[in-house]
Formats: sequence, structure tokens, C-alpha cells
Amino acid sequence: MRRAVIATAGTVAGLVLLLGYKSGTPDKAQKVHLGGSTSSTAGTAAAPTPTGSSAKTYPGQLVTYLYGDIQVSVTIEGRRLVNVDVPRNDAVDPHSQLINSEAVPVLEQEALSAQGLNFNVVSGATYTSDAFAQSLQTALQKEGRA
Amino acid sequence: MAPTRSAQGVRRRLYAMGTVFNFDIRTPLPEELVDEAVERACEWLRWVDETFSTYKDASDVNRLERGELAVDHCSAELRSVVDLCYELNKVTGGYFDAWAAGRFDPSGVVKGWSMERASRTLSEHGLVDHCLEGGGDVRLAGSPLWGTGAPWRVAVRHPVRRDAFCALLDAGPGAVATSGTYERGLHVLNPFTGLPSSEILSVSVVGPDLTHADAYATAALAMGPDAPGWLSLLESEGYFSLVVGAAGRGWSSPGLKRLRAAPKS
Repeated sequence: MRRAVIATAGTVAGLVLLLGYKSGTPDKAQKVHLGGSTSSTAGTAAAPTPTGSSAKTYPGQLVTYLYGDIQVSVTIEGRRLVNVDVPRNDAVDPHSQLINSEAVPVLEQEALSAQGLNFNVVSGATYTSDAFAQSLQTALQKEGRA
Repeated sequence: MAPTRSAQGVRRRLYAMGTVFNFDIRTPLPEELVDEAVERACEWLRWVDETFSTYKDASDVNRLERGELAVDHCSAELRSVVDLCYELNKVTGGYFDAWAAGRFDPSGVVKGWSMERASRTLSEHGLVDHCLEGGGDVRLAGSPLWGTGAPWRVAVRHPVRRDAFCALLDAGPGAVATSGTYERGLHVLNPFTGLPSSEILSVSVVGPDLTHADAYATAALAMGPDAPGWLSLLESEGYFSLVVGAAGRGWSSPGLKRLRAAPKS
């Protein structure tokens, strides 16, 4: 579970840095809040206000993937991305429904427990960052910049 | 689950392309030289990100897509990626399809391709023993124990059990790429049916080149039950594979068993 948080944090930082670079003002601090449920609830669309310079929040699509659901939302102020939030992230939610691995028949080769295993590096599919990127992209599409 | 097998080495990390790149350098050169070489590789990866990211409005890939950039005015790198996508589409019988989303999107091959070049940059600067890992794709060179010829030890993540691995491999210099599906198949669509591919949970390909290993793993994922047959053919080019099916059954290509390592060694 901790590793999923690290992967997500890395991805948030990476994506925010990418977007910050794009806006041409990478030195202006872009606030990033990771986790928590302080912003919009899953699934509700924040209707952007037509006038004014107030920040607008755009929730991305709720993406269902291997570890559950993830949703990213972005807050845009003018042309700047000021906040990336993750209002829903089952991969780090201790109460999330884990895939019942007993429902999956035992592999031909027994799964190797990570405990005490000797290795240099891990190869694996990047479920968390791809789901995150997908949800983020839909949030940006709503805002009109993706 | 942190790597446990370590010796003297220099580690660095880069955030780019929406993921984390981990550098693990084992050639015992002075740290300033190591950092210089790693920085060259990072500059390359950042440039690739700017040029190829579909998330960045002004990337060459997006400008090409919008018709703002003509193919003959593209950089040589972008042109070679376009050519690569055509080649891979042919070689995989259409299962690798950079146009499947309705626009040109080379994301499936760019990460592996750029890591292949980054690894070459490190070697050219004398860092001949290194492990470069980016979002689960791995490019290995030399040995983790400098001067011994010992192979790199790679653990392959179990697609369902987060606390476990499904294979342990002694992969010498070369590449390891793993592709996987989400539980409800949002990620990989079969380009022929347009439907999510759901019969395979993960494919890992080990071979000489990460660009191809990556594309082969991605293509095989979409093939479902036809994957093992196709992957077996790749052994003649030096690519060995491992598949975990949705029914929980594992398959590996005939030559892969030679790469399997004993867990406690």
C-alpha cells in the first residue's frame, strides 16, 4: 500500500511539473495536495462559472482499475494549474475492497512472497500511474486545455 | 517492496513522462562523473517528454496531429518514432497500433525507446554497469557487481497480489518490459474488436532491446489466447516471455526457464 502512495506521489509531482513547464512559469509554486477528500465528491461535475478570475475545479473521470477506483481533479486559476487533488484513491484507502485473490486460481508457479527475496529491481505494469494519468487527462479535457 | 540486493552504487531519480525513472549505477567512477552522465541521460528524457507527450499542448506529437507540423519538418527523432510505429504495427500483425485511439499516439513505445537511448548514453560515458528503471520497464547493462559478470536479478510483479512476485529472473544485460491490464480492462483495447482485452493480466518480455520488448509486451496483451503462440516465435530473436492469464494460470516461453533464478540465492 505504501508503495502505491509513493508511485502516485511521484506521478503527481511529475505531471504537475510537466504542466507547470507548459504554462511557462515553473518557478511559481504550484500547490499540490495529495489525498484527502476535501474537494468535490466523486462523480459530480463542477460547472465552471462563466466570468470572474476565481479558481475553477474540474473533476476527472472516475477510473476503475486493478486496485480499485481513482479520481483526480484539477483547479485552474486563469491559465495556471494551482491544485491537483486526488479525492478518490482506493489504492491508498485502507477500507477499499481489495481484489479477492482467492478467487484467482493458484498459478502454475507459486507466487513468490516479497518477504526475504533478493533482487535488484522490479518490473511491473504501472497500473496506478496510468489510471491516474487517464483521470487527470479527463479533468483537463473538461477544463479545455487537453 | 524495495530492492534488497545491493552493493556500492549511485542512485538517482528523475520525474518525467508522468512516471519515475530510477538510475542505479554500479561502475565505480567518481560521483561527479556519474552525475554528469546521468544528467545527460535526464536531459534526453526531459526532451523526449516535451516532444512526445500527448498531455502537453505544444508537444511536437500534438502539433503533428493538429496539422501544425509537417512530417518533413519534424525532428529526426520524431520521424524515427513514426517509422518505428509503422514497423511495430506490421511486426505485431496490427496488435501494436499507435493509431488505435483515433489519433497518432506513440506513448506505448516512447518510454521504452527513450530509455534504450538513455542507457546507451550512460554506457558511452563509461557507466557500463547500470540499471535504469522507468515505470516498471527495465534496461540493464553490465553487472550489478562490477567486474564479476554476475547477472542482474529482476523480480516480476504479481498482477493481482500486491505483496508478491510471479517470477524471479537472472536477466543479464538487456531489457525487461511488463505490460498489464486493469481489472476491468480500461487500459488495453483490442484494436480489432475495439473491446477491452481481458484474458491476460500481464505479459513480461525479456530481450536485447527495450523498445521492442515493450511493444511486444503491449501487443501480446491484446492478443488474448493467441499471445503464447506469437510470443514463442520471438524466441528466435532473443525475446523470452512470461504470461499470466486472467484465470490465474501462468505460461512461459520455452527458453524462459533458463533465466529463472532460485528465490534465496
